[in-house]
Order: sequence, then structure tokens, then C-alpha cells
Amino acid sequence: MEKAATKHFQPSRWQELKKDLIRNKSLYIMLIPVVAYYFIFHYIPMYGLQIAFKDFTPAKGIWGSPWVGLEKFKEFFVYDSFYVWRIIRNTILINVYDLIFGFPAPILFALLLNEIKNSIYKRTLQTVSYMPHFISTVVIVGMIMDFFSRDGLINQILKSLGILSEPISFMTEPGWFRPLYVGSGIWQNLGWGSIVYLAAISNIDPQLYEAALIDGAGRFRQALYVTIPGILPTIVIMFLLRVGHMMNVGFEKVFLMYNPLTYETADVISTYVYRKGLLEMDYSYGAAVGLFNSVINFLLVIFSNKIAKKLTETSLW
Amino acid sequence: MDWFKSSKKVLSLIVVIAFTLSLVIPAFVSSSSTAYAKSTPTLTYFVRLDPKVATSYNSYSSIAAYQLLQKKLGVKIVFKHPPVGGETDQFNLMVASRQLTDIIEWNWIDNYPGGPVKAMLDKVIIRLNDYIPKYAPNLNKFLQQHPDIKKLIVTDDGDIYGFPALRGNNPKIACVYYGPQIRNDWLKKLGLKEPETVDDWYKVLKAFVTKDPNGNGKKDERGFSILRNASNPRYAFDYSSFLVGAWGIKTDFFQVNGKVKYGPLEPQYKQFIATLQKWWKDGLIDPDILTMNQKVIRANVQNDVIGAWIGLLSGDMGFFLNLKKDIIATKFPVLKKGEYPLLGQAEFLFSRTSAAITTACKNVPLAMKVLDWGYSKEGYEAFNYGVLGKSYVKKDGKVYYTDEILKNPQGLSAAEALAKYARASISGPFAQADEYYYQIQMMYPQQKDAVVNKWSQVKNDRILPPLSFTDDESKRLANIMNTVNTYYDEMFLRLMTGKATNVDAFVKTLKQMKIDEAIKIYQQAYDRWKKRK
Repeated sequence: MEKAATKHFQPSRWQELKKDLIRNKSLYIMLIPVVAYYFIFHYIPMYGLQIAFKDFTPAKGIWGSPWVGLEKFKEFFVYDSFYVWRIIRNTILINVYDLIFGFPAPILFALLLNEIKNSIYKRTLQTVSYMPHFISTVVIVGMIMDFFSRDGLINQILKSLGILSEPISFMTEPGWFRPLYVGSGIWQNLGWGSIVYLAAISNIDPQLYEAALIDGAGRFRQALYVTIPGILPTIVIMFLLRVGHMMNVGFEKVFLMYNPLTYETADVISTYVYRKGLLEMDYSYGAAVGLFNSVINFLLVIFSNKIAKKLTETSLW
Repeated sequence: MDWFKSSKKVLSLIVVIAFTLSLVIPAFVSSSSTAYAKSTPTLTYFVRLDPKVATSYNSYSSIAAYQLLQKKLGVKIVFKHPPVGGETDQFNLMVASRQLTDIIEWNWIDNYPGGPVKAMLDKVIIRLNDYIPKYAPNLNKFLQQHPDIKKLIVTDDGDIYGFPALRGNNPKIACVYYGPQIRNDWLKKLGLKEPETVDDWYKVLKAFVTKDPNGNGKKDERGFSILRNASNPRYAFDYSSFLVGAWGIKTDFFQVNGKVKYGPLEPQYKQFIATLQKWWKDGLIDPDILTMNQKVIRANVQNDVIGAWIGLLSGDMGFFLNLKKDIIATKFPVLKKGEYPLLGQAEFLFSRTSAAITTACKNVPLAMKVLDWGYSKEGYEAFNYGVLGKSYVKKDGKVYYTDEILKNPQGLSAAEALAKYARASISGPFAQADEYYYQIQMMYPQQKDAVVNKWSQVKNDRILPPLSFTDDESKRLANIMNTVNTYYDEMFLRLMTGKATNVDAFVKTLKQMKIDEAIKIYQQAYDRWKKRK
């Protein structure tokens, strides 16, 4: 009796959903293609992940290949221990450098752009700074190789200025790989990355600036106390998204830039997986390392989200 | 009004469904556009697009020999060429996704992990033994006449998995195409003799980089370089045995008196590395070989900056002779004057590439017929010479390439011009003709001298033949060698440039990586090979 009453007065979740479905029919219909896309192209392929725990041969197919448990993970951590720590270290270090130097760059650039009052100059500057973003990675790396080769532009400039007597082979010195990788990344993404911050800045209430002006704040103090706090939520969100890719380095660029002499600092998880998984056809191994990588990324996002929530009250969810 | 309203809803629903389906359906509908298959049977054929063809055509189907084949046999061949440089990726993706073409031309021995035995086990390609007597009479006859070649192309169990690409009949001519080349004018200018020993080489290269032989008043000369598209110079040393062969070893696996050995583990390896280090330290080696940037290296040879290099007979030597550069080939260096070189560049008459028929092929007899054509008299002539009257003529029963090929009006090299008509300059499932070697590979006297007097004058009995491994062996071998090769690639460059000096530590790590087990596996496979009939 009591049960029935509560059921009557508090509609169950399912009933609520049903009501909502009827009310917002067209919205739900519009959702179908999106859900279908994710289901077909992102969820169905996940069943292939099982090959990380199998000894996969194409002849037997995914279902037919025998289970080997954690054998492939063992292979990675035990048998390949010559490389495993090196590639993990390289992957993390490149990302940490990218986070330290690459992440603040567009923010600084946006703050500086914001201070420019001549709108024609500002727009030109902005457009020019976007351009490298539209150049393909292959071309970017080609440019890096030409500029930084032994007879390249950079060596010639340094030589003619008398800074160097002997040319530096930037591309074959392990020590130069990370600066070149991160530096070219900054150059490429500075302008494009600043767009989101500029948009956030334009959303800040002008009255805040007026108030700050009345309080006697100069332009530096206005930036420090109005602009930066104003875009802080955006910065946090961008930071969290970035952390989610912490263990991923763009495969393409590293692959094009490295060579055996720079493996020491340049070989990362994705390039190693490529060499082993695709070139040597050890698909299970590739899948296992890829899965390991994704799990770490997943954990990183969750943790950093938690921390961000505690510290700044801004978070992804 | 109501009707209108609901029909609008229905319409929008249809649009949404259609949109959804359009996203989904293309994934399932593929390669169903073979409606014309009834009239002419079609075969798909995966093969790399050779750059010599690529200068004129973007598909092998435009080559005159293939047009003749298609007309004669009443078949349509659809060539699938992987993008240049992405051949391995594309091949592996094709195998992994099981979207196989009917025929795949590939180096199954080196570029399929586990080799041809594994490829058959993986059900990628089929065993041809039962089909050959019935559908490939020409290949069958050829193999019966040449048991030595048959021994090279079968697996240990006697399985035939493909139609082999063969290098003519005379190994002294056909299998030699890569070796040391040097600037003759520089030698003359500095009053030097052609280098013979390793010490000679050092003196010559030293003179090249210190005495301004190109006469531009600048110290821009580089002594030694490598012209070959490889990711690492160690493969060029392995491939040619240049320098390292002077000590009677290779940089990789080889054999002495039936015992398999691995270069770095041999005591002589230290001397080879020490020599390389000395060359590097004294600036005799082109720094560009660290990145193997072929474009830059080639340009530097063209601009008279590089004095000596290892390069190809037609692709490099022929190219520079075309530009009127005064270059000659040298013998492979030895340790003492007058010694006969133990090792040089050498291939077997079977070039390790085979056209195999895949499990996806619906019409095996037809595929057999198409591939067998290359070993028939008609196919032999078409693949080697092209079109009678256009690319070749016959005089007194002998074959001569025309000026269209040898002095191409469009400025193509002979090998490139021939690639428009025939496949002799590319090699493929047929035997290359001697005329090709004599008239095109050795068009210039310097090239003939290179082959006949220099590069073929080596013993070369220490090189391993194409071996085949069992499934277990190849798995274990892949596990060991993947680790070893990554390490070796890196260490070779570090040792050469003197960044690492401790060869013993290098060897110790190789042992930790279980190189001895890999040598044992090679030994077993080699023992089986020796027992092959």
C-alpha cells in the first residue's frame, strides 16, 4: 500500500525519461546520428582491445586467437626493459617541457595582444601568428630540418655573427631534440592557441577595468588583477584537457624528426609501438602498450580534475 | 493541416535516418563495383611503384609489356601501388585488415615478419606446389632446368610460395650493382693512385679533404659518403661489405665454414670500428650520413663536394656519368696489398622478391597463368625488351635496345626510358636478360669496368643464402632481433662518431639481449638449408 503510494507520487526515473522523450522528441532524434557515430566508430572498435591480452595472428582473427593474459605487458616491462623506462621518461619529459614552456605561451601572447590598441596592427599580428598552425607537420619538420641542418640557415647566421666556429648538427645531437621539438611546437601553435584566451578576455566586464582604473591600477596591475583572474577558469579547463594527453606525444612529428642518434631523447611510446606493432607486425604488443598508455592518461585526467576542483572550483565535471 | 504537420515530421525523420545510414553504410559497401567482371576477368596486384616508372607513369598498367599481357591473356590487372616510402606500412595494414589483393609482389623473406613460412601459416598467401605443374608450365620447366635456383626459392619443406624475381643467368654480371666509387679527376689532380688497401683509402680520403681537389679555394671537401636510401649507414656497410669486409666479417649475420657468426661479436669488429672512428675524427666521413639525407648527399656529389662513396651501378654511377663526372669504381678494400677481397656486395640470382598469390584470390588458375607468362619466351621478351621496333630491334638474331631507350629524346636515363616499355630495369617475376645488363646497366665503359674488373672480383662465400625459419623460431627471433636492432642502430652511429668507444660494453649488452640464441636459430636454419635438395 505504501509502496504503491510512493510510486504514484514520485515518478520513477524511467517515467521521467519517457516524459522527457515525448516532450523533446525532435531533440532526441537529432541526437541519434551523433550517438551512432560515437557508438560505431569509437565504441565498437573497443572490442578489438582484447588483442592486448591475446596472441593475435590475422589468420585466426580476433576471436580465434588464443588468450595469453598479461604476457604482452610482461614482454613490454620485463623483456624490453632496455627501452621501456627510456621511452616512458622521454614521453613524460617532452610533455612536461611542453607544459612548462608551451602551455603559458599562448596565454602570454593573448595578454600582450590585448594590450595593443591599434586594431589594424593587432589584427595583422594575429593573422600572421595563426599561419603556422595551418602548415602540415610534414612541412614543418621539413623546414626544421632545412633551417637546423649543418649548412642550414641557423648555423650560417650563428657563424656569421661569430657565435660559432664549428656548425652544430642540431638534428643528430640528442640534447637538441627536446628544445627543437617544444620550440617549434610553440611557434606553430602560439597564435592559434591564443584565440580561446582572447575570447575569454573579451568576455570580462569592462566595468571591472573602470573600477580598477579608479582605484589607481596601471595597465600591468589591471592585467594582473582583472584579466588573469577573469580567464582563470578557461586556463584551468585548457590545462585539464592538456593533462589528458600527457602520455601522448604527436607521433607524426617525433617520427619525422628523430633518427637513431637521437633515440636517446626522442624515442617515445608511440614511435616505439609503431616500430614494434606495425613494422614488426606484433599487433598484440602494440595494443597492450597502447592500452597501458590510455589507462595512464585516463587516471591523469581524473586526478588532475579532482585537484583542480579542490583548488579552483573549476573542473571538467 | 494535420496531414501536413505529420508528413513534415515523417520527412524530417527520413532525413535523419538517411543521414545516419550514410555515415554507416560506406563502411560495409566496398569493392562491389566489379559489375564488369563478367566480360573480362580482373586481378588486383599489389606492388611498389618503382621510381623509374614513376617518372613517366603512375601505374604499372601503363607499361607496354603489361598492356600486351592483358591483351594476350584477356585479363584486366588493377595495380595497387602503395605510396612511395610508405610501402611497409601499407603492406602491413593490408595484411592486418585482410583486404588482400589477388597478387602481392613482396620481399617475403626480409619484409614479412617470420618470412614466407609464416605468411602461409597466417593464411596470407597460398602454397603453389600443386598448381605449378598444371597452371605454370613455363616456371615448372625453368625450375627443372635450374635446380640451384629452385633451392633458393623454396622453403625448407620444399614449398614454393611465389613467382621469383630472378637476375639473369650470370651471377658475376647480374648480381653486382652496388659498390665503392671515386672521383678519378681528383685522384689525378692530387697524383694519387686508386686506393686498394684500407690504409690507401685513409691516405686518399685525407688528401681529398685537406688538399682542395675541387679547386674552389675552400676547405669544403668531404671524403666518404653513402648513397642509398637506408635509415642507417650500418645497413649500407652490411649490404656492400665495404670496409668491414676487409676483415672478412660483415656487420650482421654471416658464416665461415658452415658456422654462423654475428659481426659485432667477432674480434675483428673492434678494428673495423676503430678505423671508422679514425675516419670520422679526421673529418673524412660526410656528416650527412648520420641523417642519411639522400637529397643533400646526392646534391653534394653533383656539386663536387664529395670524393668517394658507395652507390648503385646504374642509379648513381650512371646518373653521375650522364652529368659527365669523371668517376670510376674501385675494388673492395683489403688489409694487405694484393689480397683478394673476401667480401663485397653480392646477391643471389634470386632477388628475394616474389609475386605470391593470396588467399583472397578467387581465380587461382588465372593468377597462375598471368604470373607464369613472365617465364615464357613471349613474356621474357616483353618484360626485358618491351615492344619490338619501338624499344628494341633484332639484328642477326641478337637484341639491341633502340636510341629511344639509350639516348632518350626526353632526357630520361636509359633505365627510366626502358621502364615505360618493360620491367627489366625494375626486376619482377621473370628472369632479367643479359642484354639488359650489358647494354643498359653497363652503358658506359666505367660501369663495365666496375662490374667486370672491380666489384665482381670478390670471393663472397661467407654470405648467408635466403633462410627460412619455423613459426616458433621466427617468433623468438623477432623478439630478440627487434630489441637488438634498435640498440644496434643507435650504437653503430655512436661508435662511429666516437660518442661511445667501448665495444666490449656494446657486445655485453648484445649478449644480455640474447644474441647468442639468435645466432643458434640462424645456425639451425642454415643447417637445414644445406640439407635442401
